[in-house]
Amino acid sequence: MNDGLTSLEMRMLTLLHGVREECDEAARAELNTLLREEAEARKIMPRLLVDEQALVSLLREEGIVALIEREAKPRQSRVPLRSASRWLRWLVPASMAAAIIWGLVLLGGRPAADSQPRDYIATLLRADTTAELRDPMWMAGQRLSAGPLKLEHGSVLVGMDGGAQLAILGPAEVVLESPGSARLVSGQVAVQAPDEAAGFRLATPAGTAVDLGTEFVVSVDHKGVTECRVLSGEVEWHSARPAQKVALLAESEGRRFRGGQVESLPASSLRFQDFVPPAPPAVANVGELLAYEPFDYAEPMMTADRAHGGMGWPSPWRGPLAPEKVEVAPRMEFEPGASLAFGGLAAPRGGSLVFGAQRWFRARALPLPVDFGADGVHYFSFLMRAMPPTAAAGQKPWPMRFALVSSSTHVWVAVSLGTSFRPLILAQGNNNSAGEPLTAGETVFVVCKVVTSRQGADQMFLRVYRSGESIEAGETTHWTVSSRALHFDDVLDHVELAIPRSEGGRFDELRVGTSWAAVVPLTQRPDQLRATN
Amino acid sequence: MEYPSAMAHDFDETRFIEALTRHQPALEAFCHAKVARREDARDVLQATCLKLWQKAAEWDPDTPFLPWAFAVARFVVLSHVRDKMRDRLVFDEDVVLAMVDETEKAAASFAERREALAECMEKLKPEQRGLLHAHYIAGQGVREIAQSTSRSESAIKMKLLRLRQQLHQCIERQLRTAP
Repeated sequence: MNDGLTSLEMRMLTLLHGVREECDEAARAELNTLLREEAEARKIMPRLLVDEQALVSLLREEGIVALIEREAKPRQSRVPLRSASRWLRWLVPASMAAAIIWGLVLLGGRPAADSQPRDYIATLLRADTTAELRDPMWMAGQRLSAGPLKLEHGSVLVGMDGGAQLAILGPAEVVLESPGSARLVSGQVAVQAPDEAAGFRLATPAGTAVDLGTEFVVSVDHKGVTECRVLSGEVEWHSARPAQKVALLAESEGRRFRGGQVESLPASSLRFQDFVPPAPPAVANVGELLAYEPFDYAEPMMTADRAHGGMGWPSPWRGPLAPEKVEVAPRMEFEPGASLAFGGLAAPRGGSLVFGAQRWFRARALPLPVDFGADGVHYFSFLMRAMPPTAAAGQKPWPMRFALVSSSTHVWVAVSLGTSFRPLILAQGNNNSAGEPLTAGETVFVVCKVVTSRQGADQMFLRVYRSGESIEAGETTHWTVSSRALHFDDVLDHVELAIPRSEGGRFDELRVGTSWAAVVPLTQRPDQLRATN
Repeated sequence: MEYPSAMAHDFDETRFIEALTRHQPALEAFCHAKVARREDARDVLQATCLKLWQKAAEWDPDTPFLPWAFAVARFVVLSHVRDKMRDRLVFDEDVVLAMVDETEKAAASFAERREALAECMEKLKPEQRGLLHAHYIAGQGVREIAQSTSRSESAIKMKLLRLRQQLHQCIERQLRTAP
């Protein structure tokens, strides 16, 4: 490389830095002038930027490899991915990259799970917003097992299954021990434990804070000096030295534990929310919405292959996937102009899918398959007016079912309503039902979360919102039904609706996404997506 | 807005998904080279992928995917440049257009450049990697890094720029000597 080019590269890098880092308008003007006038500059600049992208890609990968190496343990119950889904393998690191894309590096992570659902004890609810925040592959909602969680920088919000929420500020190392306990090795953690989570224990080198329905913040520095401040409510502090000594810390009280010495700390005006990483801006959620079907068809009946509305779907609706159920020219029935509404979730465009006089299956390919052999989190939501199924002569009544299905093996998992009209998860013969029975004709908003894991257990969650219930802006910590731990590696590439024979039943506003916010459109609707046509 | 419709025509969905998946890193690099800001590049990439899905039936699977995808991306980039506030743009529209060919060439060789870069990064010291990680992955600005390392801002800035220059030159060398 000759000196002229060397200095040209440096000049361009310097100007680029000025534009991007310092918002220097003069640098921007100079850079553009240089690119207009110098052919060599026009050659170098794209390379510099492509190399920058490669650099980011490699640095991300380094973090992922570290994560994988720490997590890797053989999982005996797994079967290999089918060859048809080989292309999906790259999505494993791509998905895992999400955790570091936001300036977040989770090292150590969770140990491999065995077959029990207790493996998962918490959920990663949110990471801090940075310039990287918009990445759609961030694994919001990923489940965490017991084990160390090392955060190099940034902040995360972790929801413990026991109900407590931990806002962890990096650099920090926290060991998640159980749904109701954790250990802070170093760094800072703010805890909020609602009444139902009272008794949550956060251990430190100096002692253990036992929550009595409160908010508190604990920090441990590199020398083991520990501070505990109560932001609201009360905390019981069990000292490690002298052992078993218990003190009650009231609101605004704080203690510093240095060796055997204890000092009082001044009151803090902070609250738990001050430690929580901010929610991503609404626009960031759009990128995580993979597909949307508003069922806003103009005709009341059409063949499924003509029903290709919505966004993000690679192909139209079709008939049943199982060969034994094949129909000739399968039809779909709609109610044009009549959307289901649920509180503030009125559909932006009119129309809904009608449960008709016949029962039928209708399927549609997903934009990205749900690969149970890879790490990932998918969310689905829809509105439904639930009506009990009726049966034609000689048939059994058939409940509505929303399923994810493999078009090659026909393996499926589903959410449904059981015979008692209660919310139900169906997976691998493991049926889990919970919650109150729905009422005939009631419109509900349903959110389904599917957590897939390369090494640990897979799991499904179902939240059914009924009239009058408020919908959380962030991921709920109150699922109506949770599945047991699941173990399989199928690639489910279609959604399939089992539509019952049922007068008055409707289905509407189907969303597929990679985050809670993407499928729970409280602030952002697909019709507000930036026009790209 | 009108929702993008799914394909009205038959097309080879599997090959399209495979091609899009395989070439997405190069497409992202293309978008980044056009707009020079990673957050904008991701917006443009997202819009491009949506557009590619809409136009999927127009791609002939027997022809290379990337040139077709770049052609689609080019229009999405221009639309982005025209819509974007001037103070957010790094390159003016005429400059974006003037760099079209070189950008496509560089992005098309993304995989090779990344491979070469991996070799070059083997030579970096841990603290140099740490600096790159802090800036490009953790998103720390020069001031923030300077504060956390007790160095001056100008020293950190120069370290970053020199590292980038060294890596770029190393990539070019690797590619010239590649068999």
